Amino acid sequence: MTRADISLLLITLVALPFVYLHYWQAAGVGTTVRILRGETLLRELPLNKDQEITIEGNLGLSHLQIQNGKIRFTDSPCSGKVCIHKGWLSHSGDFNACLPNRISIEILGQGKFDSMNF
Amino acid sequence: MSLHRWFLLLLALALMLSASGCQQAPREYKQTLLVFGTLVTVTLRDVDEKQAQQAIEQIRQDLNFMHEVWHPWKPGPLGRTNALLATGGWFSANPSVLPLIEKGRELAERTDNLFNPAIGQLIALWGYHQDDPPKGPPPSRAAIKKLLAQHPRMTDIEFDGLRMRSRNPAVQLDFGAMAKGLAVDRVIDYLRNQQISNAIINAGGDLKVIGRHGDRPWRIGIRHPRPTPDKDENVLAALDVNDGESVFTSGDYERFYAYEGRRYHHILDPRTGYPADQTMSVTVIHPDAATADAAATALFVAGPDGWRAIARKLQLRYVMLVDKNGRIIMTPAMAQRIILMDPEDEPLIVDPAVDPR
Repeated sequence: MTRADISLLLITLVALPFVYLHYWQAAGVGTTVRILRGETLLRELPLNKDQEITIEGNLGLSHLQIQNGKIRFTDSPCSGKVCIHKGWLSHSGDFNACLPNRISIEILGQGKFDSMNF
Repeated sequence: MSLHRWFLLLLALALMLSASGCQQAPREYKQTLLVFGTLVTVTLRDVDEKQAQQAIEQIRQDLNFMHEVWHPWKPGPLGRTNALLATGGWFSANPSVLPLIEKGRELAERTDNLFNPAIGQLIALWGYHQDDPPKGPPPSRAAIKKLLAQHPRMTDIEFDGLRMRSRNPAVQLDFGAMAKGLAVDRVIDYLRNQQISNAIINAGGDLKVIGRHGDRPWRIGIRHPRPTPDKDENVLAALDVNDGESVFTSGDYERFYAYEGRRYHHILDPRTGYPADQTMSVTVIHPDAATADAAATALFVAGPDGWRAIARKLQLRYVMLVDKNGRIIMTPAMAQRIILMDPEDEPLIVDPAVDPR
């Protein structure tokens, strides 16, 4: 083998882990969240940026919090507060809604699960 | 460059392309619909865009139609049926509600009436007959007692050809614990007729699948009935779902309200008239989604002591029950398939077929 062969092999071997990581990383962790009012898409946000969001629904304002790749309802103007009780969502395919306020969130991305049962 | 260097270069390129190739795997279409009083997520694979859009639009229409027709109190076919049942007289049965009544009768009998769609009045008394959850307060003990004393049962309904009536005027039909299952069965049948062979329908957390996700089965997570607020993981278990199977969970966390510090959830025990209080959640896998739906409710009501007898009567193979203390009980067949996310969870494995209770 010449030096060119060896460099080519080295480049391939160095590049492969990056290619692998780029395409197969983040198993189980959703990457973005979709926020809908009714069926209308309002926003699509990355889960890797911590922030708090306020969304106006049918009854009033729903408050959402994104932290460490997860999202949850922190407040909503519904009576039951079932949406808040559900806690953090982080897996792709998972979703949660404040149905009285018509606000729902859904995690997208290549994750561990295709769908969530509850 | 000589030939073998070209070969090496091509090999390197091929390796990289093969890695990126999996990103361009068959297109997956996913849409969330606000129908049937809940969120319904439709996931379709290996279809073209036009076919996916047509199918999703048809599913929306079908589910809207079923929601209207099967709603117990709106002025649709089931609402009218309820009004006529209360009179005690004979009337012409509406064909669009007959499948519900037939299936409901069969499942009520096979669950010893723990799934009892004739208790519509009790469900309305608690306020769980609407899409939006009630606020409380809970109904009075006297009002509950009065309804229970009338013993509404599916067997009170009699047929004469196409005419029907109820011998018991207290019978009011509410198929809330089965209609979603029947609707999901219908949607899956429609997709199969459209030659769509890989799909998931998830209706408010209950689901049925066709086919596979590429070269592996569809994989789902079952949400923990009591997620720890500050813990990342809200998943109790993982499960691979096979072609034609449905997975339904009934949980006390799905619909509830708190009144004066007490929680009142939507799964009512037809024997006591109050929310069943021995269980947190029950998960059932079954090919028939309507059966899975009603079975999950009936086993929830039966609780950790009574579920075996009902599971035997329904010939269920796959059951997981989390009791009020968080103890996980499951059938041997379920234990073989399910993967619990917390390695410290030690499920109690019980075979209803051999356990005499």
